[in-house]
Amino acid sequence: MALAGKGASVYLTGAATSFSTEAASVVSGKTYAIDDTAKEIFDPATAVVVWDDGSPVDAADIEDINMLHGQVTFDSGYTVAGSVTFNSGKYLPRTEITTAKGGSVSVRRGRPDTSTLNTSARQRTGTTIDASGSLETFDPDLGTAVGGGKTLLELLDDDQTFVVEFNPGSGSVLRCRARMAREEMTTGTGEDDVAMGMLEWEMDAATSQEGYQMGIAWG
Amino acid sequence: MATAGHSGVVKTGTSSSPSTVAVGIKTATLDQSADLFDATALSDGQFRKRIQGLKDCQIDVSGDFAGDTANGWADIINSVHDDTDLFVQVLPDGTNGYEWQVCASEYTIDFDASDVISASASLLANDSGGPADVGSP
Repeated sequence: MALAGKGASVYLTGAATSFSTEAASVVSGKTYAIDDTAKEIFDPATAVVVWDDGSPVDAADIEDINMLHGQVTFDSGYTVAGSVTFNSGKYLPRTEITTAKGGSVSVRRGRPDTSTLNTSARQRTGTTIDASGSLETFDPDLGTAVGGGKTLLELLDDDQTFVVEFNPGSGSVLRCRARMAREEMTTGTGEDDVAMGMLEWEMDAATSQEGYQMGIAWG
Repeated sequence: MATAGHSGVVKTGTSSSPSTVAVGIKTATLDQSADLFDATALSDGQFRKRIQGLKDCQIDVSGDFAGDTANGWADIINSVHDDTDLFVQVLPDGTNGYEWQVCASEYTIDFDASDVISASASLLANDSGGPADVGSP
C-alpha cells in the first residue's frame, strides 16, 4: 500500500555518548537487540562489549554486531545462558530534522558483465555498494543542531561523519553512515519563494573496533 | 487490439515462476536485447550479415514505495543490499509475457511532505539461459 510522504521522517546523529549495561531482548534465533531504541546506533570507533548471564561473551562466539541497528547475533554453536546485555560502548544519539520537506535516497551496487563462454544471455557479478541522498529543509541557514554542538552546516564545515536515517513511516528504517557532500541555501522574492536549505550526503562506511561493517542497512 | 495499461502485472520472487504480484508498481519497462556482430565477409555480396551474441535485459520499474517489507520492493532491496538475484515476470496483459533472472543495480526512494513516497529501480539480467516465456507472449 502506498505511503504518504507526510508520515516520513529523517534523523541525523550527533556526538558519541557512552552507555553501560543496556538490556537486550531476542529478535529471532540467536539475534538480540538493545531494548533502548534511542541507543541502537553504535559508534564504530568504540568497542561494544556483550555480556551473557553476567559474563563477557568471547569474540569467537559472536557472528555479527549490527552497528546500525544495535543487534548482536551469536554464533550458531553458542547457547545463550541468561540475560544478554550490551555492557559497554558508545551510541550515536539521533535528532529528527523537523524542518525537512522532502528528499531522496539512492542505493546502488556495481554489476559488471561477467558473462562466460557457452552461455546464451548476459551474467553479472555484484561488486561494491554505494548510497547517496538529499534533503530539502525549511531551515535556510542549516543551523539545526544535530547533537554534540554541531549543526547541519558544521557537518560539512568540520568534515564530520554521521548516520542518516530515513523512516518511511511503515516497516523498517534505512540507516546509512555518511559524510556531507554539498549544502546549498536559496531564497528569492517571488510570491511562492521561501528560504530553503538543501544538503546532499554520500555513504562513508566504517569498520568497527571488532571488525564489523557499518555501511547501510534496513532494520 | 490495444491492451489497457492497468491490465499489466509484475511478479517477483526469489525462485523461478514467481507468483507474488509486486506492490505499488505503476510503470514497468522490459528492454530485451541481443548483441549483433557484423559477420559480413569478402565475397558475401553487397548485403550485410550478422550473428547474434549474448542476450540481455533491463527492467525498469517505478511506482509507490510500500515499505521495505512489501512484496516486490523487499526482493529489490535485498538484491542490492545482500547481492542476491530475483526472478521477475513482466506481463503486460496480466497473463502473458517474459520471465528473467535478474539482479538489482539500483533503487531510489523519493519523499516529500506533499506527495506519496515513490520509488524506482533498475534490474539487469543475470541469467545464463535467457528469458522464459510466460503464457503465450
